[in-house]
Amino acid sequence: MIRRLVAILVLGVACAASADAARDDSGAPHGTVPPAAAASTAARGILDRARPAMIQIKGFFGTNTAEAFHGSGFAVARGGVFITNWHVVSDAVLYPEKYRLEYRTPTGATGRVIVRAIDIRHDLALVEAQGVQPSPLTLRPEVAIKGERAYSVGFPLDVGLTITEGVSNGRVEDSFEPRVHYSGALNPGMSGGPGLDASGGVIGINVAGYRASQLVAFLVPAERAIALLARLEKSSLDPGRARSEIASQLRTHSQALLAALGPRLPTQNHHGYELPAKPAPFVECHAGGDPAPDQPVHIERVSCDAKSTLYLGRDLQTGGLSFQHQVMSTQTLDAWRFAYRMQNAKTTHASFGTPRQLAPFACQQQNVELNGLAANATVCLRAYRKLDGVYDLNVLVVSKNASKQGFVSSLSLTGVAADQALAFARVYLESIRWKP
Amino acid sequence: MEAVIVVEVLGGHDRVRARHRIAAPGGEAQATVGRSATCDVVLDDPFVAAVHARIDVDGDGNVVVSDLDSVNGVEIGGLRLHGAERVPVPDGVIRIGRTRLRVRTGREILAPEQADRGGPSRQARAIELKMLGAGFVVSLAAIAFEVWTATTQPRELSTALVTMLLTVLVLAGLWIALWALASRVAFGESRWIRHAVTVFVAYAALAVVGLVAEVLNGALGWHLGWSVVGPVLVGVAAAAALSCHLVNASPMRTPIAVTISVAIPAVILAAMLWMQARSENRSPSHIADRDRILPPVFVLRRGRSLDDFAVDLADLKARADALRAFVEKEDPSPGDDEPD
Repeated sequence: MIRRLVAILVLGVACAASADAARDDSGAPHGTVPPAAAASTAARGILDRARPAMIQIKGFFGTNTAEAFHGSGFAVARGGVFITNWHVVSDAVLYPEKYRLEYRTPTGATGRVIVRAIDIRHDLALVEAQGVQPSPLTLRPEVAIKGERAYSVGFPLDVGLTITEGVSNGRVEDSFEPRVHYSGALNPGMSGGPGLDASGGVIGINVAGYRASQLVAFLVPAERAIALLARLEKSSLDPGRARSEIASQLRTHSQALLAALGPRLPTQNHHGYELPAKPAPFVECHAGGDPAPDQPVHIERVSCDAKSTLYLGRDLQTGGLSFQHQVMSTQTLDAWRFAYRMQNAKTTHASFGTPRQLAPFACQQQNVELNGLAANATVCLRAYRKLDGVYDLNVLVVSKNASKQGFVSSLSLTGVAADQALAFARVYLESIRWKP
Repeated sequence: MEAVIVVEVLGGHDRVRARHRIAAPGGEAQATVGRSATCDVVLDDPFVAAVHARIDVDGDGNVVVSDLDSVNGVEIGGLRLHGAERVPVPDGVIRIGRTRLRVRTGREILAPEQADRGGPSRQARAIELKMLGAGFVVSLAAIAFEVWTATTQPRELSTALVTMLLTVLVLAGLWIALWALASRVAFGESRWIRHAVTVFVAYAALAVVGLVAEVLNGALGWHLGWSVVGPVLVGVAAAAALSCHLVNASPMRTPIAVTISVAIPAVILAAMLWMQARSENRSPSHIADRDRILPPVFVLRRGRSLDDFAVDLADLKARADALRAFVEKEDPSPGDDEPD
């Protein structure tokens, strides 16, 4: 089973406890936090240092005064420059005419928030909070080692400024996007808050956690915040060109992803069929099948996912790469009925997307010879409606060489430039061969 | 010479329910019609007077009718006449009350006797029965083949086969019965065999043509879109079957029956294909499949090389862009639906 990263999104928690009712002068909620004496002295010191730099970022739909979503942010440069997650402010960037952003400091000061720079690949955004210019927290460029004490600060579930204590488990191994593994609590609303070391230096920015797991959470390494600050020095985000900036960053992301896979795909032999196998350490692959021995059709399923999907907006996740194989064989069925099952396996293949974001697929289907292997291939491309030059690729290959065995293989590559998509389709098709 | 008059009481579909022969030794014959037992032709019709009318055949063999002061009069050639006095009846058919009568005379010209050589009707019936047998066997075989293709285990096959055959036979029986009923209403005869032939031959032809087309499509790489070809074949079979049913179950003329039979499936088909195209043309998740996977023995043409396929893919980006422009124009602001 593919476990999916569930972003600690602030969406949908607006109905949690009211921020005003739950906060006192110290920023801690009434009754929900243990007495200060019970908390670690170190945590108290860290929170005292972080508090002045913290803001809660709130989004409002239209002219409503009730919030639509919220997250956290903290000062990273002088002049009121704060960092948060892209997914906290994405709605306001994508639909500026529908959403407005405001901040609220732990002392209750409020004002407007303007997005200055975005990095969708690393889920970061730099914002300007008008009217508040606290001293920035110190960004620590090197990744905290495994076992180092770490803290996370933010505004979880709208219950006021909160600190959680945990341990850094260093950089996540086998991940395409750089992430710091933080073993501590990270809850919706803390997105965009700082992950801190014992001396109060920022080791990362709160970003996501496995919702069903215990204390497995992730930070974007502070080095990515430093890089985004350097980019802001060169140019600021033009709100009118936000979508073209997003499209450009998406293409760059996919280009980097494909470059990381290399020019040829490694393969694994499944009953004579050489099929694409785990192409890079960060790609997660699973294989399985029905263990019952007397099934009329034996099916082995392999699925691989690069876990590179980016959150673009509320109904759009893209930038992913995944492929699946179903390798089928039979000893008891005749060729006609086996072919019927292959056909069914082919037609159950589907690719999802919303009509608001995506245009229909243009497809080319042909009977092809893949290194001498007779197969039927379908290559499809669909354009993003609101992002120029960005496409989704879908490839479906079904073998036709044998009467009692075969495979159905599908590839999905999303958020990519068309020429790169088609070049990768060829790489995928070229890797498939018959080698009994 | 003896004058003869035969009065036939007609029922539904002009069937003769009763026949009265009245002979007169002189040159003229006459018959009285009414409910009274004193009449020559006694009718059991409450809209008929005790002695309602008189039918005469004069010396020249002409039929004339006189109304004997009845309340409802007599109807001749679609006209109701009261107090009619010796009104001629050219076709011999009159209506008295709610009963139709046909008057025949000795001067009637009869068609020559037909020689009985087994008879064309008997031959036609034999052909019909053969067609019915063939259509029935091929239809059942086609259904059994479909069920066999879709199952993998013998037990699963037998259950599915019995269920499917029972369902199909019940449905076909109901369908045939409905048309037979229509035939009975229109022509007074059920024409069971004709309607059964229509159903089974149409289904058998559809199954055989469909299978052959599907195999050829896969074998020769025609890339026929099955979501269009399938419904079109069904539409053609339905039009053919419907014409046969209508010709045999309604008094309408053949060209009209055929026109209606073609028009109904054509309209349904066009609406279906239009809706299908509309949803597929706008859905970002639809991937058309035009090639059926067949056992290798059916594959008659080699596939294209990867280089040739790459050439085929050259215009894919332009086509994707065209689809984007199409949906932007046709459907600029789709609803906030869930991913489909």
